[in-house]
Amino acid sequence: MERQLQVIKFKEFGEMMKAWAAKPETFPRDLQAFKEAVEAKPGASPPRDAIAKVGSHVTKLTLVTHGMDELVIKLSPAEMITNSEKAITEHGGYPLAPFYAGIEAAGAQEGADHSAKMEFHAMRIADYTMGNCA
Amino acid sequence: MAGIHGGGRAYASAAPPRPVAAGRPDLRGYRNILYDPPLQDRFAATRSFEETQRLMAILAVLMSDSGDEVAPDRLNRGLPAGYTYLLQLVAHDCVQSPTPFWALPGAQAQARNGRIARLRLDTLYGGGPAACPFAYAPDDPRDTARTRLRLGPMRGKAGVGRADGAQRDIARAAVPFPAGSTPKPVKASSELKAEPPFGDPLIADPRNEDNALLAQMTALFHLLHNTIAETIGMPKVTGGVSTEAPADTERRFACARAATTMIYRHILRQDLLPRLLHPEVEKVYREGGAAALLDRDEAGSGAWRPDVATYERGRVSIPLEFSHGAARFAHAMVRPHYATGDGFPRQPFREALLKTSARQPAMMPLSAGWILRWANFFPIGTPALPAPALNFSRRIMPLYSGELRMETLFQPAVPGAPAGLAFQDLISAVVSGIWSVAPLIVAVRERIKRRGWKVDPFDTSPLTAEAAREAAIILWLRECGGAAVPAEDLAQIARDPPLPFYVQFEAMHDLGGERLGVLGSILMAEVLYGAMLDDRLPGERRDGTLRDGLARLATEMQLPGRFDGVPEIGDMAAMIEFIADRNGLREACPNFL
Repeated sequence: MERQLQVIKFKEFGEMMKAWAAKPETFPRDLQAFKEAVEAKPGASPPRDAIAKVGSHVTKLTLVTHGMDELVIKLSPAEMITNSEKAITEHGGYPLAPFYAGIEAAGAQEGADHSAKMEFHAMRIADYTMGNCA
Repeated sequence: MAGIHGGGRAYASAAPPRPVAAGRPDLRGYRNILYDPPLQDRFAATRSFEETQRLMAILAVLMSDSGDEVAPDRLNRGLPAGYTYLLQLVAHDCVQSPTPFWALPGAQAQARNGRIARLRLDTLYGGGPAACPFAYAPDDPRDTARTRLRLGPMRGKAGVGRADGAQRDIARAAVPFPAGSTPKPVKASSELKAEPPFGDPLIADPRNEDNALLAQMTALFHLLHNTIAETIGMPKVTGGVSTEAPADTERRFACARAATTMIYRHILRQDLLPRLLHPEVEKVYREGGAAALLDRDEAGSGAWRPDVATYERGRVSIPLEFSHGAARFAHAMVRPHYATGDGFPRQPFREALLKTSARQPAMMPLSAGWILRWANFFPIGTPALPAPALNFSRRIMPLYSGELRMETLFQPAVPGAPAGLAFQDLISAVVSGIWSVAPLIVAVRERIKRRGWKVDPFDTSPLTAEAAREAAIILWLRECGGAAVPAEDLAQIARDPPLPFYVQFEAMHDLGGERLGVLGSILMAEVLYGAMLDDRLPGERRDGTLRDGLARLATEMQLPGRFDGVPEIGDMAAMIEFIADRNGLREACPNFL
């Protein structure tokens, strides 16, 4: 299944997020504008490679902003979680972004026990459902 | 050859590389194809380095192909994905540079090619058991001789650092001390807090562990060698010591090595090159033999240069137009993901880049998900098993997968330049002082005429005419996002395209990306056929059957009849099935076939 968003330049994408967090009013107004913001700009000086690629099946974009006094829980599509659990059960590892090379957390390795992998998966969901990565 | 370089340790580019076109660099082991081009005929010779660097940055961005999926019409059904990694092994068997050109600041003091014998599988054998003992397994418990290549177990399910199962991975050594620490004597293994990571691959050429798929290809050829060694017959061991005379051991190893190399070369001639090269070009070299080679002196004396003083350089050194031009096309064949075996998900290629001893020693050896089912990578008939998920390579076109542009894996070759392999390939072409495409085509055609080829394959290529070539390149660049780029920049790129880009463009334009075009095919054929024709193995002939060649080899090595049971192996599929049959791997788990 094609990913919703393929991040190619994690550092640049993170910098963009920080800038948008500082000024949410500068966030792209719609999906098309978001795509344009992250796509390659060969005519720029210096030329810029694509930062991310939006999956062809994605049709909507939602921006969530909130204050320090508001707890935001972002639930993933149930199908996405089911697919991940199935992949871990049947096939093995939970894919991490390449900058996590060599992570030692229990359950992160391909050779880890199934139960450890499922625990790691659950903790990742816990972290990212409420995590703000700020 | 730089290779994909994802699995290797990072190079730090302290200062931007500089062009060498203004003067002859000290590039030992390299040369230009045909002859040294005049300054004005070298790539980017008429532009400033800074301007060329800017144009290459634009081109690298345009050569980007984002997305997780490969459209069906961009899959190359004539070249299953295993050939991508066979090509990487072949490249490592032709070129060995200590440092990639793009990482060399200014003086290029380290720019040399250490591979003086090509297509001899030096990339697997290194200097042999005496010079590279770590790559070889002991023949007996006392380790009195080593004639088989090492293999290692895959990672087991028991936990981190544990390994069990059949030997399907390359061998790896554990590194007991973390990098930068001062080693202290360890009194007992229990003093180590955890099992040490497997930080060093036990192979002759560590580049063959650039990524997990190439490591598997390396393990496959180690298996082939060991199978051939067993076919010849291993020595009797008495009291933990081989009873074989040292001279016999040497001869047996030399014979096994030569037979393995002969099979490999036979596969290149019979399988890889016919799939890859322009049909007319392939026919010329296959039928013409040494008489067809262009990269020699015009008198046809057999030497590359008429004078003895430069003969050595011509014979031993590699054309830069191969190493830093044509051979880069295989980077465009890399898929974003691969089905590695039954029961495993499609693995992103970035994971293959990470699954190396250099990058993730704590996660070595490879787990079952990275032990390849070869029927997924080569067209092997396996009626008794579930249908393989055959991965096809991407068609050859100047588009690199997003997996080859990850900043964490491919840092910018120059500060501020785009991260990724495309820019590295392009800037290396700038630095190396290779031919410019237009005068190179003219020079090759002149040589074709003098050599008396019956046909000039450039006659049929619509890109031979300079104006048509430039127009076609500009049109394609615009279609790939170049509409926002100033027209003059596109025109400059099209007038003097870098060779790595052009070879890929030619393949796409003239043959739909299913094979290399005329120029790309000639550059590859000159090196690969040239290596096989001029540095023959004992008993090797350019035509005839493998079985006859092996029989001659065995006789010459005073081991007659030893290969009588070896079947005719004409392609990678047959080689893999031979290995499976001789090693009981047809029912292996994870699947081998």
